[in-house]
Amino acid sequence: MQFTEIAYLFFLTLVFITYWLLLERHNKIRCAMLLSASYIFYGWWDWRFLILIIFTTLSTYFLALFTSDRARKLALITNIILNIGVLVAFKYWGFFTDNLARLFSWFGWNLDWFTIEVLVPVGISFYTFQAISYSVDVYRRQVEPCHNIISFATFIAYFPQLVAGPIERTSNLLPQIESDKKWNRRQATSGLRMILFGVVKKVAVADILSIYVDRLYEEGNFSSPLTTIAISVLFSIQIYCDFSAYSEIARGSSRLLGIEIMGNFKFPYFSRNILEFWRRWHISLMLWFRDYVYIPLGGNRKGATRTYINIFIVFLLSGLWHGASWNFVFWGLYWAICYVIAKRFLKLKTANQAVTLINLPDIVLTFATVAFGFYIFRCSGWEEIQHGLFNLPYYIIFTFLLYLAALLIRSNYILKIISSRTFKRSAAVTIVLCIMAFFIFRYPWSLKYYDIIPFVVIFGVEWYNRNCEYPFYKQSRSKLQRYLMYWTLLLFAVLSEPIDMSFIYFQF
Amino acid sequence: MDKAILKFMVKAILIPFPIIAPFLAFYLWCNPFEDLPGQNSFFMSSDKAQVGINKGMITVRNYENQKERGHRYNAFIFGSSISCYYDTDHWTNLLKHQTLDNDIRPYHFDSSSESLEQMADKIEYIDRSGDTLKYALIVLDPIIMSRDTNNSPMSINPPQFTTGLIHRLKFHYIFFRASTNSDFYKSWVPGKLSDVPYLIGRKPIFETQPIVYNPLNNQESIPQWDLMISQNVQEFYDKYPLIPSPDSIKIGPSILTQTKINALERVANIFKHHNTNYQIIIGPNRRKYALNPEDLIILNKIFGSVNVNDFSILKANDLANDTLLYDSTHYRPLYADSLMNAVYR
Repeated sequence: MQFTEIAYLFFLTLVFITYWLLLERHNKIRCAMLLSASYIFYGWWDWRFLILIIFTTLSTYFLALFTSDRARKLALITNIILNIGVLVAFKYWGFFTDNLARLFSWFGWNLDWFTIEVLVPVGISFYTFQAISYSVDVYRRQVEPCHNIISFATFIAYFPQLVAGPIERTSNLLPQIESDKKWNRRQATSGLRMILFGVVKKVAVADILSIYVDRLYEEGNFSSPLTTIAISVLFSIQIYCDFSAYSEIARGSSRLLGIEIMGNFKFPYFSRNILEFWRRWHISLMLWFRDYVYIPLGGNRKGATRTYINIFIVFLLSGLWHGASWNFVFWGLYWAICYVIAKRFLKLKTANQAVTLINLPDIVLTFATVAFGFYIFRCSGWEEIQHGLFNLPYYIIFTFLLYLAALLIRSNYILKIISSRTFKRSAAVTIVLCIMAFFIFRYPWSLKYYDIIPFVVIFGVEWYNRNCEYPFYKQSRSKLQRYLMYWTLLLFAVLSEPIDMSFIYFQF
Repeated sequence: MDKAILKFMVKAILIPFPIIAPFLAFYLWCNPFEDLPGQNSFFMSSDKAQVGINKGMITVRNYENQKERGHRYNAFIFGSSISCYYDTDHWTNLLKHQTLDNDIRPYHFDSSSESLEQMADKIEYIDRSGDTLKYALIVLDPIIMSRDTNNSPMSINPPQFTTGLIHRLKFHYIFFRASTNSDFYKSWVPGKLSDVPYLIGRKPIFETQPIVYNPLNNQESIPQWDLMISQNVQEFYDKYPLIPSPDSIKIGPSILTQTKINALERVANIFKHHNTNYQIIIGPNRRKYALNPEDLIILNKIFGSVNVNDFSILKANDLANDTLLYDSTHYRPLYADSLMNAVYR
């Protein structure tokens, strides 16, 4: 059941009514209802997936109950091995056996009997990491072991965040599941707004862009620099809108039930450098790697060289986490290199420092770096990556032109141009805009102007709320203006083409 | 607290209403895809721009209408749209010659792009409705056989094949979405105003073939195109070009998954129950994409080799001849007749 399907609307409505109207004074039964709803939601994909999640739930729950020091350590190691083992078996077995078979075939040995087709359960990467997080937090005595199997099972299988995150922390989610909830109209209203925004982002922007990206791949002209640039830019926007849409719908759905889950994105494409980007993109996963991989390895406490090695390990694992494929490994490697360079030469601009128009050139450079990474992420083979690398000089020129445009836009010069009407400066701006228009509207991707309208509106809302917690945080005081915005977004959603496209991160 | 929650819910329904209501009204009033009950005549005029309609829905609705008028059928041609130009009269004559049975009442029970699972649902529907499956001809294609069940507007099974209110709602919801998006309006609005089939949007919505429809046996034909081909072949194929036919035959990977095998077994069981006299034709295609031998073994195992006729390799080069095709996918009745002759004589 996808979040953008009509079936989810009915499902969520039914859960909402049962949760708030029928079980208002019965919190324990509410929890059990939430668990049942989560299992129905998950089983809707394939009932066989339930076996694995129940196994993960029970093993994690019981192993965390050991109290003696020695038993606790053994229990932790066992649970980590079990969860990682499950992940490897379902997600990476085919990758390893295929590559092993390929390696042996170079020596003339046939290993076909070794490879098997495995059905990868949806969301396995997310809930196994969440289970591991719980086990480690219990071991570190940061949280108490849960003694209520229903609450714990709900924590693992909580349907808004089960399939594609965020990877929640025990200290945040479990107490909320166990506690009594009071109806909060503001919270529920903001939840609905988040859902609306997420749905429009997905159906009116991400899915439409997928048509263009798929077309570029079908044409297969990877040697063209324009293809590299187009795929980088379009796919970066697609994957952001797709993944952040899911997270917003998840967060919104959870708010309707009075439960706050963490935000997974904080306007990452407005980041001023790479260090900041990785604090705004897929926040829950990066925090998980930081707390359970990077810091245990020593973090930045053991000298520069060790820090950089740890960074490499984290990004390579992060790449592998996305999938059992060499393009994800190369993506991880690309980011490891970029991050190490950034860490060496840049300073982190924290989220507390407001993003302004002055930062536009930095934002452009950061986006360009990110976009090329997503080009690698999207590649299905080494040949495509090679073409991308060969086209890198053109990509750098394109980035430079955008950087120039950003410098002009952010500077006071643009105001003087408009007021002074100096021909030279007006012409410079016009030329830069024409170059940008050329790249946007020209063959081979032939982006249609009406497909950009929803993106412009979404982007406008995000820029307006760029220094807030989430899009739509700031609301107009005028009811009419608010309703006009809702109706505009609804119009985009209704007029969007029904494209049968699941969320990208469901495959992870 | 209940009142506050109810107030919230009412508001959540009322706020979207001004946007949803006009689109809902358009869908209910115009019924562009004719999926709503009440539409009983199809392909009325080949001169006007007509929106392409779910053939499976036409098939079953017409079937039920004909039965209400007292017609009964016992011989069925099943398959995707590739089967729709198999002439029922020719098939009936072949059957009469073979079986000496004069009580053969044929009906074309085809759907567009249907998967094997959808075909099995269709045959189960006929079985459920108490009709006799005395004769059957299943027309398959290796490319279409590999497809999974598709819930697009052109391919979704009509609600009669699957019991349950949910499927019926889902069926109409799919058409509601198909008829209320900007890509649809881009072609539909100018098309309806000018009666010219506009192909502006990403997905073509208008029927481009001037189909002549016989509701008595659900048969489609395109005599206008047959005449054009006979009078001026070059002009026709310049106007409706075909994809080039490759030089060599390509044998695809095995496509019969366990789900598809289960569907075929459902069909075989129903045929066994009705003691159906049936044949299966796996036709060739323009792309020379042939059935994998492993799949042929499975088909023979389920249906018996005397009932399975694989022409995808044997006659793979036939469809390199343009004049046997209307388009890159559908071969003309005269070629379909030749395949039936090969099977029944």
